[in-house]
Amino acid sequence: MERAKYPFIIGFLVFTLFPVFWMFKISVTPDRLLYSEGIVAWPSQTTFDHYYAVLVEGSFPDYFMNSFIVSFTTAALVTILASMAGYALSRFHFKGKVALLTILLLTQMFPIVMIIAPIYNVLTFINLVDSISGLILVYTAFNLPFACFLMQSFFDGAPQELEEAAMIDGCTRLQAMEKVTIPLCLPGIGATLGFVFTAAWSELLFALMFISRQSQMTFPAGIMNFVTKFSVDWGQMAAAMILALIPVCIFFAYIQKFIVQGLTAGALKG
Amino acid sequence: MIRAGIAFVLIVLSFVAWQAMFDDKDLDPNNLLIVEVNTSAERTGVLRDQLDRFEADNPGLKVDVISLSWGQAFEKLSMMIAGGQIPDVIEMPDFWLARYVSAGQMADMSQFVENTPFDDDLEEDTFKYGSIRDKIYTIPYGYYLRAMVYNKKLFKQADIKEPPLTMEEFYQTAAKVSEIPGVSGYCHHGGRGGAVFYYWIMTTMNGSNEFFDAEGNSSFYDQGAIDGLTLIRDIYQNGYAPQDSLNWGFNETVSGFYSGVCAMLHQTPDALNGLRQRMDEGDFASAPMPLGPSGKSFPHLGYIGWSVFEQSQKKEAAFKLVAHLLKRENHQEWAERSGLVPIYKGLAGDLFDTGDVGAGWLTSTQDERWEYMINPNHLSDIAEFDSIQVVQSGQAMMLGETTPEETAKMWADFLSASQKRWLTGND
Amino acid sequence: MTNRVEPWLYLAPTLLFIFLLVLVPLVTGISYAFFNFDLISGTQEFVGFDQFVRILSEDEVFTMSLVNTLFWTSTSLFFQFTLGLALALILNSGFRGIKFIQPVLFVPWAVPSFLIGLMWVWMFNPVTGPLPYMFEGLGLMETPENLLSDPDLAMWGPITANVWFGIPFFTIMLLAALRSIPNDIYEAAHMDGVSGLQAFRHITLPLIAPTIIITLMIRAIWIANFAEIIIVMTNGGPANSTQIVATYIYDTAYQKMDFGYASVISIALLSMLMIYGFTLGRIRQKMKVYI
Repeated sequence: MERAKYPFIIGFLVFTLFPVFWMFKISVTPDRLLYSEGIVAWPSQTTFDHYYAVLVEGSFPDYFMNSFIVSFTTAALVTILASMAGYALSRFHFKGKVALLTILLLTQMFPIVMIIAPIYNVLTFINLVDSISGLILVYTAFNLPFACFLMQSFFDGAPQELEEAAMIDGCTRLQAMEKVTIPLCLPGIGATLGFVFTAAWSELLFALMFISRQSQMTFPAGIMNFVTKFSVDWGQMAAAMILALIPVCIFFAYIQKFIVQGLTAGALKG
Repeated sequence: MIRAGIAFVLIVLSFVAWQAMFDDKDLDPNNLLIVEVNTSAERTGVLRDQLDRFEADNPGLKVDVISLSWGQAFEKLSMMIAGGQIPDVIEMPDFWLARYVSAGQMADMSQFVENTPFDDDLEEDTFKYGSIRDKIYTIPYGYYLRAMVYNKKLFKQADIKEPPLTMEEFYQTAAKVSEIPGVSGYCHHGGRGGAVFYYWIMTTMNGSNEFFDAEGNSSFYDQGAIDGLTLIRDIYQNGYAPQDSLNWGFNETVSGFYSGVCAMLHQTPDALNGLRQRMDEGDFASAPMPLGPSGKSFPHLGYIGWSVFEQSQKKEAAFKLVAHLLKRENHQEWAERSGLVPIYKGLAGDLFDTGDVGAGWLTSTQDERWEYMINPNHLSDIAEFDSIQVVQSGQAMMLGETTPEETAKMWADFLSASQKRWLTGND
Repeated sequence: MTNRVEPWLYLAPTLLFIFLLVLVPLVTGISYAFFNFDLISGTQEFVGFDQFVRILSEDEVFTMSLVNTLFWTSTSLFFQFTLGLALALILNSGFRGIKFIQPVLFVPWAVPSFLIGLMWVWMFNPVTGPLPYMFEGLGLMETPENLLSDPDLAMWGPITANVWFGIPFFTIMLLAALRSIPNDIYEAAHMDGVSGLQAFRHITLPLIAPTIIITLMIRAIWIANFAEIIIVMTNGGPANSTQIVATYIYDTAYQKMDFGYASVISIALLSMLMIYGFTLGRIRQKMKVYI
């Protein structure tokens, strides 16, 4: 069992990274060699022109900044709101709970392409179409249902007795929540945060449909600039994609601490 | 922690509220708004230059541009309109036109055209192409005419001296090139956007570029048309086109061509820019589309034009802007930079007089054996027919799931029904 | 705990967001089904249930795409879940270098879906990608051909891309659930002589079951609605062999501009997903009792 682990991990790494490696290869291949060398593991000449073009000549630094603001804000907002909602769903029995859960689930089942136009109208109404604020609101709304389910199930997993004990000891509910329940649910909060962050980071359809101004564009929408009717600028697109993965890696490297903390939090209890 | 969370939520919400109230969106409602849909960074630069000149010529008029990316332009434009954000001038591809006209969104430009002096050299059908029921709704800014680009190196290797002139030679050439290992003769465009090749081979084999008779019956079920479909199916099934060309889109056909996977490419002249970047100038050339049994060929002529929205509050200025963009000197720059067949007759010679690379287009525009084929763009379901029905059922035919005859029947039925609705005015 | 007002207080901000930006548009979207609706002209003509009759009686593409949806969803879900669970268990057991490998394994989840599609198209293309040659080397193909243009195999292309993309989701969610299990439970069980596979079955599995059910439920719903990868990779072709309900809806809405009928198809999909959701929901409730 212990030994079988390593080939498995290597297998996963290869499956995950090979396509990324291939994109990286494209990003450093000069345009002229892109098709002329056949299938080779590494081009005979490499260049960082595409990275230069993306980082210096284009508006990508702005796109990345917008993406970061949108993703981070959305992730934090959703996690906070969903923690509250998830807590309510987990700790209380109240009238209309089943109906509420059903509606939350229902929102996930209707294809987004069908409701983009109505959302566009809502955003026009509140004067937030074509701005990152509007995007933050829409992403928050669309990530909330699932985040609520998630937080609910994490709260379900955290034993209620401890919290009740704290409340008997004189804590208010909020104090008990802050001292006992939230530390126990940190892995769940970390997972939710990471999940929503990446979802917002990589979202294209809304960004493309709602944003027209260059100054408000996020990076996935900006990447569409490389796809024109008559050609795709593969080199620059691959370079932008590789660059976009770096902040995500860093974010996950940071988030994993939260997820790991679950172990220590679990020990606290005993 | 909980307090920090609540504070964060409040900060975000106040930022959102601030943007909702005070952000002015950079778009001044007094400015003209032009939306381009076939966007590329280079072309946007050309457009901006021409708009700057327009602003200089017309003090007081300012123009804003929104550039949509082609892939989602149709969806996004329709959403903008539904959301009440109406542009003044729009770049209008031929196959969208009927949709927008039947929805009552396009302004009739006939009056305006009458009052505007255009150069006499203008291709005579220019206004006709953009008209529906004798009203001009768009003015083409250039033509996407099809010709055959071929790989000279591969031709030489296969011992082929001349590009194919007739359909028979086309088939033989494709077969001969395919004898080279790993190479196929024809770069088939079987995915979205490839419909016009089927139309070309059907009309050319049939000897007429009319899609319908007077009663509105489609000519696609004529024997000649069926023969055309049979021919392309044979080319594919005999391996004279790459196996995966079945779902190639534009990008794959072009990359297939310049990587030397296939030797003949059915393309519009704007593809040349991409080819020049990746192939040596002497390695490729163009020829007109092969002639059918009738001694004629009907290469497809597509166009994109400038239109004005019916709901625009500044129609006069918008018309003026369209006239400015189509002025001879502006148009020359435009056609040159985007690699289009120009709408002024005299310009074609200038733009394509570049040896055998432009030969295909030059011949097609000047020799009488080549006549243009114009899609039935007046039908409002032509866009969906081109991009869905023809693609999926064409693939089924190439795979042998249906026969060319069944396919021709299916297409003819669709088109006849649509045309008859149009003739009775119930479009 | 029973309390009338308090839970709603916690729920209020969430509900406000969802109501304004999801629910109102959703109801609008559903209402299209009863109209002959043209987005461009903005005209709406009430047609009642006429469009529902069409889907039941004469739509072959819908039937075909339904079968494809079933295959696409179940196959993608199966591989994503099993591989994701395996990876979560491995990561949970810990190994050297985990700190560096863990973030990398989550990378696919952060790639925009249309880029995933383009990337895999590139990989499957014999002119640009290595996969056809690998398949040939493994004896799976006689000549290096593009799997995406073979109607019998084409669906495996988007499925591969989708599995690549979806594994990290299950990994991260299940890993978080695993990490929430207090260690002392295992210690206690160990003292009682329960360990290894038995501990997994009797301790781990029941404790992560709520998370498993909820992720399986939501992922299946998302995958069934997930059209981007297919649109980029095959556009539903060749010959409709990769046409799923979600791509069909997209085409109907934005190519045919028939929002009314697209809404009808969406409602049909919604009803089927609801049956699936309720079945899993029931199972989840039963399990709670069991635990």
